[in-house]
Amino acid sequence: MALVWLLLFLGSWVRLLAVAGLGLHHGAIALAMAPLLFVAIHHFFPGLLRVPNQPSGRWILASLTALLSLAFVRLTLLRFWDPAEWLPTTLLALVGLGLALFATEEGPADRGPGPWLWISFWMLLSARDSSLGLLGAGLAPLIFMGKAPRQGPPLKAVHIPKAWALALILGLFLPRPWWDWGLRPESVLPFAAFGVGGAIACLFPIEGALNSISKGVLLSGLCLVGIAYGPSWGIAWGAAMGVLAANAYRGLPRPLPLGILGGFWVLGMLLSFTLQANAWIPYLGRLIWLGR
Amino acid sequence: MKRAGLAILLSLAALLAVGWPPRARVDRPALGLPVEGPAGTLEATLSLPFCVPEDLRQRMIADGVGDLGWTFQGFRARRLKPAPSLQPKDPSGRWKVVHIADLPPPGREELLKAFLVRMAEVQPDLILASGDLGYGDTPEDWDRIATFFGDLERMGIPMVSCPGNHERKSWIQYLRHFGPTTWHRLDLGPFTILSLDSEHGRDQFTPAQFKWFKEALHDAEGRTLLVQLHHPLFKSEAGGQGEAKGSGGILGARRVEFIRLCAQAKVAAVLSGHWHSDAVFDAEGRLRDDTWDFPGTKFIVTTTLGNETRRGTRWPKSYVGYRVLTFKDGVLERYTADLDGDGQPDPIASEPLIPLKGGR
Repeated sequence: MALVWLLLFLGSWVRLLAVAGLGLHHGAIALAMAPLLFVAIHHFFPGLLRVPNQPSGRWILASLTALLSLAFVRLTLLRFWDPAEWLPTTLLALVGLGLALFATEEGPADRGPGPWLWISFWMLLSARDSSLGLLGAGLAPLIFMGKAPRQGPPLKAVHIPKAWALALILGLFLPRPWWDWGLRPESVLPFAAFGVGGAIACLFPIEGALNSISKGVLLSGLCLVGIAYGPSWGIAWGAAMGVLAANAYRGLPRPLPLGILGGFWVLGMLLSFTLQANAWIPYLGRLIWLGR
Repeated sequence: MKRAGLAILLSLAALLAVGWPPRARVDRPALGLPVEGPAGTLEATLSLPFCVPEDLRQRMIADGVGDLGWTFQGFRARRLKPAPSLQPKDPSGRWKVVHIADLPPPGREELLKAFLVRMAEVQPDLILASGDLGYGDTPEDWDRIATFFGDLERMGIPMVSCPGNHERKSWIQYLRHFGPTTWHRLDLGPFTILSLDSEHGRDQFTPAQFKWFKEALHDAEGRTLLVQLHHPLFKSEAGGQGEAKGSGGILGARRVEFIRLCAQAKVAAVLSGHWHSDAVFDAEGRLRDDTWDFPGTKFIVTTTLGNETRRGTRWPKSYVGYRVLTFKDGVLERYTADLDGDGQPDPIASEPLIPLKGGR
């Protein structure tokens, strides 16, 4: 579930925020930022966000998250989400809470290609409407929730840089087609291909071959592939990113450092947007993406 | 397999739940043609594939367009009149294209009404609106713009627009009224019109849009090409007056290549706004205040239709107005006004919306 929370939920959330722009003068904006709060809670209070142990409680929570995401998408479908509108923004915050709870567990289904294909499928559907990615995220607990999570060993500090590096690299590069193509259907195809690439990487024997590569080489490869994005080869680029990212992701320490992954993924996406959009910041327009 | 089956069923049920009953967002003017009226072309995004909502069908029937000729691409529905076969209104075979930019802000609605009156007289075949369509950020402000577009469309005048920098300040409202296709191509009569999104914040094209533009130019070979974007291509300093109160900006990245491509493809005119003042440049970036008649692509900046006027170049005249471009046999015949009334077009000048003091 962490994968869906990270890529599909937080990814779609940042994309929608970027589309809407942030009118910081409106009170609802604070609520729209709630997913960031849950990322921070994962980091600073790792035991606080957890799904209930009882199966009935888990089913109720998963169903509620799905229903709230349905309600959110019904309100915003064909209309685009305006973060200044209280009702959809409240619904989104609640979906974010539900998913942040489920993100803490990683059942057997999370190890296979299922979540990658799910991300790919819903990202593809969001070609029709940018809010649909959030529907896919909201439904995911019903599909992927596993057994109640057990408290894992504390995270070793030595593992943290790998997690943040992976999340930052993905955040920096993966959304580039969004900023490049805007809301055109082509914008989501590389991300959908990324999911397919991830699913392929989960399958034997490719997985075994890739596992022999060191993490440093993988991350460097991911970085180089990320830089090489171009609108003409976006789908192949996305698939290559997916193969590399899935293997790096599987090598991360467990339990996953959700706060670090979420925080650096969002930070990477915001940096990516800033570099792409220039955001009225002098000189940044000259960097990386576009040049003059 | 059980989990995969559940995933498929759940996805289908969820898509049905969010899409039912069928609804549509009319993405106008993604293709730029009227969405209402007998000339009827319509492009819409549907909440469920292949399901055109009843209210949209009824509206098309009420407009006399009927309920036939829908084509579907999944969640997109199109009802297209074959635009390339359209004929000009002028019996002499001349096409009249009106260009506007930087529309009146809230509180200056009388200028929109004055423009409607003028268009009833001019009877253009087409209006190009190059961004800064709305300065307000409330739904009411954007409803007002949509009504203005609708009024022109009901007069049988197709509107083709592209976004400017002010659209980015109320982007959701813009998207709700104009749809998410912010750069697009329209073939109408002899014209291929490429409308671009010179996005604010970077004031430049993204790599994807530039790639699209190059391919569209190539595909349109042999047709009369018109390009519109909000940002001008040449520095206002080229005219000697510097930036106009900070809004004399130009297109950022890929500007030189863009100009070269337009000149190579023999684009008749590249139309911009943004400066709230008139200017015309040649492909070398010279301000052509010496003559209106020079060879090659015209890089035209049209004054505001109703916002504050400015002076961006050494060209001395500033007023609210619009520009009329006349084409005969696909060739640009005239694009400036005759302000002094000597029977000859003046360089640079657009048509004043309000008569100038002292008459023409």
